[in-house]
Amino acid sequence: MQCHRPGLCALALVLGCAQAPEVKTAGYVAAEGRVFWQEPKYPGQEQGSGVSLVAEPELEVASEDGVHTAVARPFYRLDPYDQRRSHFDVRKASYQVSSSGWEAGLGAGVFTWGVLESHRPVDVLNQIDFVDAIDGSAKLGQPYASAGYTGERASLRVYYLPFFRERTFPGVDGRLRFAVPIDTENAMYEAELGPWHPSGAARFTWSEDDVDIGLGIFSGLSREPRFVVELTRVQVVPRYDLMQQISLDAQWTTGPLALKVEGFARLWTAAFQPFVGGGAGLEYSFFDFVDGWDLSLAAEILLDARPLEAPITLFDHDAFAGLRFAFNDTASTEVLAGTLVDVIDGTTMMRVDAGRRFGADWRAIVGASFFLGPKGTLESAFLQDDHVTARLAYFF
Amino acid sequence: MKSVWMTVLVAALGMGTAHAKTAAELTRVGTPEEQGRAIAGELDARNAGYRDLVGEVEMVLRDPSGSEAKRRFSIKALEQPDPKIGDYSMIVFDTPTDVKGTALLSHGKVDGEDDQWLYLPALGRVKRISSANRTGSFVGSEFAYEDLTGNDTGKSSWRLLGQEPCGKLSCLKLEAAPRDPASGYSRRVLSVESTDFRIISVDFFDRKGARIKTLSYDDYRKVSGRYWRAHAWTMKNHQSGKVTSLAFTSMRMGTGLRAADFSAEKLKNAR
Repeated sequence: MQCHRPGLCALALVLGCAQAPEVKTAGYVAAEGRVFWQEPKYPGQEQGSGVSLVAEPELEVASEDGVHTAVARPFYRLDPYDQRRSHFDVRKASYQVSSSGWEAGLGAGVFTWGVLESHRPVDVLNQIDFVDAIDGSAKLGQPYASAGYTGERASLRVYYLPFFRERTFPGVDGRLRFAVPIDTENAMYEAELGPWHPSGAARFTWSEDDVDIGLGIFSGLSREPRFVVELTRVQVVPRYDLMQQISLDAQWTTGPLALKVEGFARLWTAAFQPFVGGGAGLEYSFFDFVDGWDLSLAAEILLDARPLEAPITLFDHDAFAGLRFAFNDTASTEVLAGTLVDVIDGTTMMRVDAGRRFGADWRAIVGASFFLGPKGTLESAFLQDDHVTARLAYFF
Repeated sequence: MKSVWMTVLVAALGMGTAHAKTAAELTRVGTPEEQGRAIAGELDARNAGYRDLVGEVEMVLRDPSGSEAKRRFSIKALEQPDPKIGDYSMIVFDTPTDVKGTALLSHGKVDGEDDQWLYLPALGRVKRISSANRTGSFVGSEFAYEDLTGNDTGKSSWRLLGQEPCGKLSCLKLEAAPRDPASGYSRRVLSVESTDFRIISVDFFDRKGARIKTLSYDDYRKVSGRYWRAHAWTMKNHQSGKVTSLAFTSMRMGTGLRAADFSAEKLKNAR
């Protein structure tokens, strides 16, 4: 082995590879400004307009033959107002060995199940980093051990998840929080072992011609908390119950049209309270419709039949409409917009983002979020939290 | 005995060129359509047996004002011996850095649309995508998606237009009219030099019959001791004046890739 960089060679030795390792870097650092123009709704909340700094660098070391791979992807956000939003996480820190279709992995990682765009009801492995993004697009790294086999058309993977990550919530100072701040330091668990109660999961995927299918099974701690009011301290505490779940997601893609469906059947708590949930949608693309521009439209519905005492979901009877406009220019200019409407109470969340690249390594995105709807719903906590964002990121 | 030994050796090394037909043989008889099909078949035959390809590509996009944008990506391809199935390919981006790790997988089909999946590392999600985008630009370049994938011989009607000198060589002028009504082209005209059947250039004609682009292949090198492969491609758009150059900084064949290396689930670990 040629040793030009002793540190890497040491890592290569740990990985047990006899060849020169391949090192790759990725990730970004970003400045993200937010401006809120309405008064905060709750006492203690700061106005919240300001710039937060985000870093999410990635380092990957792989053996030359690709059998051994080690990845680290830490994450940090520095928020000027909310101490809870200033947070560190390990999105990824994993070692994987793979050979002729078989693979085994160990560490922390992010896994995504499901096919819908607005919300993926079957996606249950990772905890949501709610303080980072209320739409669930940011996820906390989940500790895992996995083993699997990938064939040409099908794959099977099993997961052992030894430790549970609690959902993040804004602090007293933060915008986009509920009426009473969530006391994240005193979370309650149905399981005796608390966060050390292990979870297990398996996923099977299958692709044949126009159809892609995923089957999932999960047993362990629900990533969704329900909220318990501690009367003695007037605090709201998250409580994580047990759950067992099977799920199915499928997509049929033909021409410019994609039809999607996903759903789960869940047994909630040790009492095995049953309920189902899921969604369906379609996506249609107009390619090169004028001057090389692409327009994709998506429409989805989300339904969830959980009992009142189960964890609250924002996606119980909602309709989504979204669009993506791509200019296909050298700067990869694109516009994304989406609206989620609760069809029963009319609660509406809207988000629009427009982004383009500058040079080879910079990307700027400006966006806006709006919340509309009646008072008295869970989402009504955000009614005065309309905001615009501007993000400038440097990628490496 | 010598000739028998040579035959065995050549066959064992997979280097048989004994059955390669010459331009004269292919153009001796038949209608221009039959000759065109025969030459297209010979192009296929001379490329057959490569098994798989692994390459690194640098792309430079230039507009008439002189501004440049660069893209770097790796490409893997797997040959499908069954002529009814198109080749598999996987492209993984390295730059621009905001799309680093983005991977595009295609399972080609001779009849019907290719199967395509996209992996977006920021979302950690593999998404099945529509492959109906034939005419759109590949990452802002002058290459349309249909210029890079789904060009199996069976997808076009072929015709030999004639033979004319091209530089020091003699070139067969070959017309390929796409059967796919969604194609942006009425026809492509290939200039194929008649000794080693290397494609020298391709003219692209839009649906109105106007010549809109020309692709030139240069820097031909033999890969795996057998296959002529152009390592420099230049696509010039005659209407906009924009030029996209594509250079292979490395290219290897027969590396032992398997079909399972081209599965949607593998995209997450693509490098």
